[in-house]
Amino acid sequence: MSWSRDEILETVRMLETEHLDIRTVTLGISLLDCAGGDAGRVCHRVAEKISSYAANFVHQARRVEADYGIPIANKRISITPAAIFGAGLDADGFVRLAETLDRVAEEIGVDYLGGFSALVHKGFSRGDLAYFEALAEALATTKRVCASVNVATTTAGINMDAIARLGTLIKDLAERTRGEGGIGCAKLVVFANAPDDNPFVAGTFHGVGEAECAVNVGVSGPGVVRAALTPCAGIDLGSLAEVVKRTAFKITRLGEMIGRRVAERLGVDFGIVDVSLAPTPAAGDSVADILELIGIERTGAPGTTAALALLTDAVKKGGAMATSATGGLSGAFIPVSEDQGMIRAVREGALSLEKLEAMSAVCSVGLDMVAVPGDTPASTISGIIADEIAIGVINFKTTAVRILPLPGMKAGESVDYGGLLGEAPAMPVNPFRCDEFVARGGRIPPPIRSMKN
Amino acid sequence: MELERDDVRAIVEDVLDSYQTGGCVQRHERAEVTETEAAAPRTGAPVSHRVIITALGRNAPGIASGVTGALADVGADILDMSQTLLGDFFTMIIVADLSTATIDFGMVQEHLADRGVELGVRIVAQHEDVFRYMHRI
Repeated sequence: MSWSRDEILETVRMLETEHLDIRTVTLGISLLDCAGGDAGRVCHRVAEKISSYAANFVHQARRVEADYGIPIANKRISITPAAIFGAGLDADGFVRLAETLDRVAEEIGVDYLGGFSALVHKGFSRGDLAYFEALAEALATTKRVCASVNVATTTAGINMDAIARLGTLIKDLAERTRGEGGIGCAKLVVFANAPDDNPFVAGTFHGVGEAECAVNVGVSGPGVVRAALTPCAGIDLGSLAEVVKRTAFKITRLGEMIGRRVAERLGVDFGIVDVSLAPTPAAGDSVADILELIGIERTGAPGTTAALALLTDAVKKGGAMATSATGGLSGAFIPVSEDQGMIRAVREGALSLEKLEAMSAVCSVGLDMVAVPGDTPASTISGIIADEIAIGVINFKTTAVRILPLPGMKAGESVDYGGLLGEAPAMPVNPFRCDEFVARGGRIPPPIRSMKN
Repeated sequence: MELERDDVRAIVEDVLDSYQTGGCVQRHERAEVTETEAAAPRTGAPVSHRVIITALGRNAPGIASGVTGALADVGADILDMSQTLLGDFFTMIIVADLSTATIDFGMVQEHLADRGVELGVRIVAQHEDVFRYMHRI
């Protein structure tokens, strides 16, 4: 037999009992050729173009699932940032565009479509301003459309005007979706150094340098890594990193195979594998659980950042060995509401907003699915965003904020969004203010390390 | 192990080539494989039809014949088979070729899973590529 019994049983165990699946296969579609000034025509072109590439996407992804017996948890679409190809639209036009995208996503059969996005790291174009005017309404009136705004890069610095506007906009969006616990904010990500090929919602978009159409894949794996580490009690950290690395290699190889097969079936390019440990609310599929298995009593305790650094680095090394097509965010995700271990750590008082911020310095992606009390001031939300973005800019990495002010709720209360979004407990926020800092506006200049040439 | 199998195949091919008729049959088969492989990148269909079937559970009389019988039902060709008992825990691994199967892989998986329920064991079928990608560079 070509495969040893142990190899076969290991794979079967990963798939059957450790939640190994392909977390997302995302079809990125360029909509640059759909630009125009007339909303009706732009919406028509957008719908036609997405349908032309994606009409069979879900069907073909299911065929690959059936061919290989590997579940693909999510099938999604990403598009060129809307504020770029929609630069000729006014605010009403952007709302119409979001509604069109929502309808197309539903027709195709995907739960989310990402790329209702803008890149404003250095300033606003006319189209960006119209986009900002429309953003809260667009997200509040659609279900499947996800938005992201890149407010900073290491080479451009930080657009504090954008961050100030987003603080207010996020509060507005939470109010508009008050009936559903402010769920609109779960579909909006604020980025520094946003990658062009990230396959994960809500931050996915199809960058302007990308091919016409490409399949990008996000792998899974917290459950598998946890299972691999379970029998490793007492081994030193170097050996432990080795176990994670080997496991990440296998997960990544599987992801690449599935991604390539879906791309082949659709007749489009294969893009990247995002080598990320992405948790889900399912029991055992938790990054926090891995940290606790490494020896941290509760995530957030001293040692957490170091353990997470080890974990993220080992995942990257295993992934880089497995494929030359790494991309996207590639790290470990620490979304609070989507990870049962993280929720437990918040509830027990082990994990604070400040510790999460520190953790995001050594992993992807940032303050993700973090709920805060509904009365948190807009300026404080802007300050939280600015802090997280600064970590990304100075460290030449992607960071992001997906923050959820829970309307009418106080610290400790929570909202259960259900499904993949999970349960979000409101975390206490530092009561001291930063209004004056945020109100100054302008751009924080790029750091000296951006001058590499 | 992979190399050994290829070596064995090479030897068998050489022997067959030395006999004219056998050689013809072998060349024909090889051409078919090449054609399938060439077509695969366009269609995204799996390159080979080989699958690995794993049956796991508590040992009981009739499991092996039940599993192989289920494969015979769907027209699968068994290429290799091994069975291990750890205490009363039973594992059986079968490599099968589905190119002669009468139904598609998804239905084969369902059929095996159903038979597994009847036999009181868990039967999992995976395409060989899954193992190739995960365990070989």
